[in-house]
Amino acid sequence: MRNYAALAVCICLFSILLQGCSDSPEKYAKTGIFFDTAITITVYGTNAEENLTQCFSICEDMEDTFSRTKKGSELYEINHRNTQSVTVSDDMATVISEGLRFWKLSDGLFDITIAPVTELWDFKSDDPSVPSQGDVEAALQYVDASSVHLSGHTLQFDNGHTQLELGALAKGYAADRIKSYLKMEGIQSALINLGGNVLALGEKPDGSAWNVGIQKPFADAGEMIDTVSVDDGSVVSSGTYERCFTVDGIRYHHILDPRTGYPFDSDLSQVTILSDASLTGDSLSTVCFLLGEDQAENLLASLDPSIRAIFVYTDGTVVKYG
Amino acid sequence: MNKHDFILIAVVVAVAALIWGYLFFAREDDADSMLVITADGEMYGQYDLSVDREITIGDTNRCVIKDGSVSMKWSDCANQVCVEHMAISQGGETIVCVPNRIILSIESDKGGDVDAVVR
Repeated sequence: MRNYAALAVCICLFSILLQGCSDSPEKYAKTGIFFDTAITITVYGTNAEENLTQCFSICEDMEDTFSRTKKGSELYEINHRNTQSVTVSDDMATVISEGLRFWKLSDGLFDITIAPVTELWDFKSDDPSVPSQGDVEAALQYVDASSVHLSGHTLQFDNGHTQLELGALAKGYAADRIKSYLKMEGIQSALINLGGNVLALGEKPDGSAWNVGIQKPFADAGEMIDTVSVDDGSVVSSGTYERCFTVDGIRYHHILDPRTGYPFDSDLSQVTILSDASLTGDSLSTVCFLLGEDQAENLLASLDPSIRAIFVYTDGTVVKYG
Repeated sequence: MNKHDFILIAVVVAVAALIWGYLFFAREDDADSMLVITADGEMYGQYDLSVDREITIGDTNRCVIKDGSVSMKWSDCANQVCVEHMAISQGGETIVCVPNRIILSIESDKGGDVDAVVR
């Protein structure tokens, strides 16, 4: 009888062992709408429900910080200030300083003070229209990033009318913030997709890289021009096919030229950046679109040789860099 | 240990293997894809992708499940991005109507060809 008892214990241990083998991290995913776009966060872990909730509350925080249009957001308060200088949060200081850095690196083509012009275009409206030349010219006089000075947490404006637009940076920064939170929580595998800004934490639980598809410009949503493998990195695209409208046969897209106040005239329709950090990738996708392929490649080479780029021209030609 | 002990061990090991095998493969087989609809942040419903049907979501949107694929058939929104979106069928794919805050997503244990799409 004693034999059987020992055997029973062995059996129990054996089955527990077998159970343990199949106990891979579980998949938790949540989709929501933030920054006027759909976001999906997928986390592999045990009891990661709480982590997902926390990720969504980071998104909410980021929206309350960087939204230009949401009343009461930190950016809204900065844009509607009564004083020449304001004290900004850590998050705000990081993003503005990155914006000003790329303003210099792009010879002024990437300008976060474009806000007064962006407001005229209002690409998000149900019925967008082309603003009048006069309005555009009036707004343009306030577009000049050299009149904005950031020192630590103190943001100084030379001009009372200057307003900031951080839409080209905020999603990338939010993705980085979510990733560092998940990392801190011990998560080893996650995919953060903020409306097409994709940032991977680690690789998939099975050890393979994540496959990220790149939307084909002007094709049906969901049709891809290429697929890239990503391991612990960021993929971000900017293009003329998102948020655009057509009036009298002319298509107006949302990447504005700070010199003219009109959509930037380019033979590119999309630039995709593969980088480590998503804030860098988010800014660079727009910066490289504005610079054009040759200048963009020079800039990338001077920044970090590990950054890769994919340029898609309006005629459909695809050029890969890196 | 006598003959009976060996038989018992064999039986127990076989049962353990069967249970493990069941758990292992049942998980894989359990990959029936579902359409999950979220409206304004709240779960609206879950639907088996293998059953063709049309689903009206509030009074703003209507989607269709056909041959394992989902598409937004109608939306009263201005931009119609969701209606123009290609049909989705793979785990992780989504169609979103931002103005009406409606999300169609496919949940499946089997991953699709891509894990995400940048645009």
